Amino acid sequence: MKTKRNFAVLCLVLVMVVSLFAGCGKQQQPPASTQTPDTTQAPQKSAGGLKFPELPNNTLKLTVNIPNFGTSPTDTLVHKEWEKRMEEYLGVKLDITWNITPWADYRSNEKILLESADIPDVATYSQGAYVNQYGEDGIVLDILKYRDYMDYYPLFAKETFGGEAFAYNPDGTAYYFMDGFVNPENITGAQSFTSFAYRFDILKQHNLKPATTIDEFTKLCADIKALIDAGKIDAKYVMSNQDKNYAFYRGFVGIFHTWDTLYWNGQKWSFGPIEDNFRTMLKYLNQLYSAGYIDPEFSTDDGAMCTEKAVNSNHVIVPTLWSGMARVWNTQTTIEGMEWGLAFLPEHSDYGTPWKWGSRQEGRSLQTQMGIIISARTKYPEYVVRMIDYQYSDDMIEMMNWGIEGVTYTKTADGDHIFSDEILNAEDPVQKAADYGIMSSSACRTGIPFTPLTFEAMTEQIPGEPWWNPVDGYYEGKYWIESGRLGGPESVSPYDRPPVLRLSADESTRRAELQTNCDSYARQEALKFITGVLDINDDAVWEAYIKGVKSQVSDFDGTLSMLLEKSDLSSLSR
Amino acid sequence: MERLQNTSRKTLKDFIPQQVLKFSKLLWRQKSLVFLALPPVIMVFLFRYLPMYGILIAFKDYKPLRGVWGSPWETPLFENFIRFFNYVDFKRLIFNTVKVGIVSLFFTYPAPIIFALLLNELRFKKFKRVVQTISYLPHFISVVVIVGMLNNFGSLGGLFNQIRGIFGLEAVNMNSGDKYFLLMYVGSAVWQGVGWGAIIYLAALANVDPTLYDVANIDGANRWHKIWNINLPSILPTTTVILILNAGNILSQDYTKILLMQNDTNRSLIDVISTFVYRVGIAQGEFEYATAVNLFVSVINFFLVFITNKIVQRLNPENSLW
Repeated sequence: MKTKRNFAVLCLVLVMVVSLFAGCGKQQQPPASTQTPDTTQAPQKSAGGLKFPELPNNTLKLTVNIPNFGTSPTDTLVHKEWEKRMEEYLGVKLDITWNITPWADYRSNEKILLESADIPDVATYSQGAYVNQYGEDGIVLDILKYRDYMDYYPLFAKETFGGEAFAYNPDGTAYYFMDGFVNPENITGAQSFTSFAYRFDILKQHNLKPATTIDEFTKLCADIKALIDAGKIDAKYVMSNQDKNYAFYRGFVGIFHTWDTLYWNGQKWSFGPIEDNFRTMLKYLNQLYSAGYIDPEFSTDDGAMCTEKAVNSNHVIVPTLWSGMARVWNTQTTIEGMEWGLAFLPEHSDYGTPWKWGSRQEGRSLQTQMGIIISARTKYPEYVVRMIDYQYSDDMIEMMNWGIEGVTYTKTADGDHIFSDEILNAEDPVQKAADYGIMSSSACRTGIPFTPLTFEAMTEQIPGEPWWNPVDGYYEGKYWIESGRLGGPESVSPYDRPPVLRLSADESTRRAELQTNCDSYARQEALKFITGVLDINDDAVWEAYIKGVKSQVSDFDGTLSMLLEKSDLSSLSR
Repeated sequence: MERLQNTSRKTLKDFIPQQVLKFSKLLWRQKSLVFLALPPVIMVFLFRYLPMYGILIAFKDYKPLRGVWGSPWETPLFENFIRFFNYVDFKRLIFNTVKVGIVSLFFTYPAPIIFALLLNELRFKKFKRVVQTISYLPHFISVVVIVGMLNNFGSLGGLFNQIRGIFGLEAVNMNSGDKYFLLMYVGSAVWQGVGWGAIIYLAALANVDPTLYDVANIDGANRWHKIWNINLPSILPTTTVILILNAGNILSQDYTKILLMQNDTNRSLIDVISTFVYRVGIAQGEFEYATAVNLFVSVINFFLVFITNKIVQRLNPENSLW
């Protein structure tokens, strides 16, 4: 009996011990080699005057972290072509372990990854100058140490607004490859938040038109409200939001020539939400809210709830929305005849042409927020730098944005690209392009994102949405093209053309802190002004609000002054 | 002489204190139990005590590349704590945290006890089992789904407003501001935890000696008398231990739920220390600062457990944890 009991106890203990240590295996191999690059010791080979270390079995083994933008790239045609061309270019075999994470999760984990210093050989990156402190700490590779291995990226750095001073740090370092854009046709269209969405079917039915001025917009709201109250329009409210995650006023800031965050206002660095223009905008929005035009749930409905309302005729206007949403609502609705369409922002007589958000520069350019980082501990930085650099070459840009000639696109005699009928005539051309791994679809990004995007490829595959303007009336257009055409060059916001900033790691952190902390506070308080919880007309309340915004960081005014001091104003003349 | 020789010949046993010897003998006698307890003890040591050295970063200017030991000490040593105490919303954070913690404890602690006592009174076993199973189900629903449901139910056209409508009350946006936050937060926590939390009390009730009920019946006790004089005293030690443990969580809320319930209308109003730690530690990657704030919370939580245990000790020493 006793032996039996002891045996049972022994078994139980064994089971528990085994389960206890089940998760305690050898720690996962750090993604990047723990050895510091030591090219002097390794056997080397030469190619084109450059010295490369000898690789075991001539194979470059790497771990790469990339996000998934909706469609996984690894099995796509373009991705396979990317690997093939890259191997040919580098003259080695690639053995890449791809760690692919959904984009939203990827972004939220980036800072932790950097902070833990456990980054893979290469990783997509989206936190801008924040990486500099980790570069200085020796976690991220200074790519300029391997400048000789780059043939194509320096071209982007040279041609972008602000030039090399923009792309590289003042101390001659650069800790990430910035996201590239190719815009030879100089399309100055906006990314989003540059048009209001209207229910075109309702406007047509009641002989109304989208507004071209803010006064017209106010009158239009009043007319729609009267029609709703009279039961002639099947809707509950005049307007609502697209998602609580986007401040409702984001669609209005450009009209009032201000911004919803820290920005370059043409003369200096300014925090938009404490500007007088911003206050004027809040007064206007408070009027709209008080008049009962705005759905009271505009700041609490999430994306799904807002979409449900939009497709079920809850409201007639959405002033703040991402490009493409009007088309989404039109395809998701079950109400026959429902037509959401877009019109450029209405103009305010005091401010002139509204500003748009996210318009790109002509030719090649770089953008600071997104990019690619390389671990300082990667074993063969020469190869890795050269590999990333090759993504900026014309050949690779063409391949990644258009796919394979004869399969996904054809070229005309004068060199223009045209996507295949299979893509253009697909029910969802963007998804079809993504299925091939064409990165200009943005739903699938092949290679190591972010790679340069060509506007022609992107605009060609994007399906049209209903648009309106006072000259052409109702028609179908594409967001980037229409927002560029209708706004004209004067609608390009100074926000999108700031001077080059030469900040140290600490200064970058101060800037980021001001932006993050003050944005969050301002958004909450601005909402109170809109809904009338705080009196926007009371100067004392406004002053207290400004004081509150400034108290979110230790030296608000000092940080703004520092930013101006560190701005290379000569870069504005480019 | 012989006796002298005997006394001078000492063995190893003679050098070990009697108490240690006694304890070792006891352990040896119960070696099966000791052996059985070993894996959990190792586990707790490895995963609960060993990582505690990470707390050090609360006092350091943490540099990941240098590691915990290699990073320089903060000057002053309590810099991260001072920073938190000087944080502009420090008072509001503490107030919100204590408010949410106390209200949650006030409702989520007694609810499973009452539910267990009620279930125990059910005589129709099948019905009892069905009710019990249904009451467990919410425990398995993800917090994301729960908050999604709350958002929908609390909207102007949502379920809660439809119920209000039945009573002639005006529809209100319950997701806006903090007016209905506590109601929804605590209400959903009670709904989610009442069935699951009752399991431990039902187990305690199952151990009540049935002869006590027989005696009570002879004495003419009704159900209420039996609950009050037999059931409640029987589960009192269990309820007390749970209360002491819950007291240690007053400052540690379900941050995922609060984060998901936040929007621009209520973010600062319902912000608590745990959401703040998430924002600072995870979103902004300031590990040392977040560790300092959490260490501060842990110390307070420890004192809360200690004080609650002391109170219980005074009232009934048998029911205290130590």
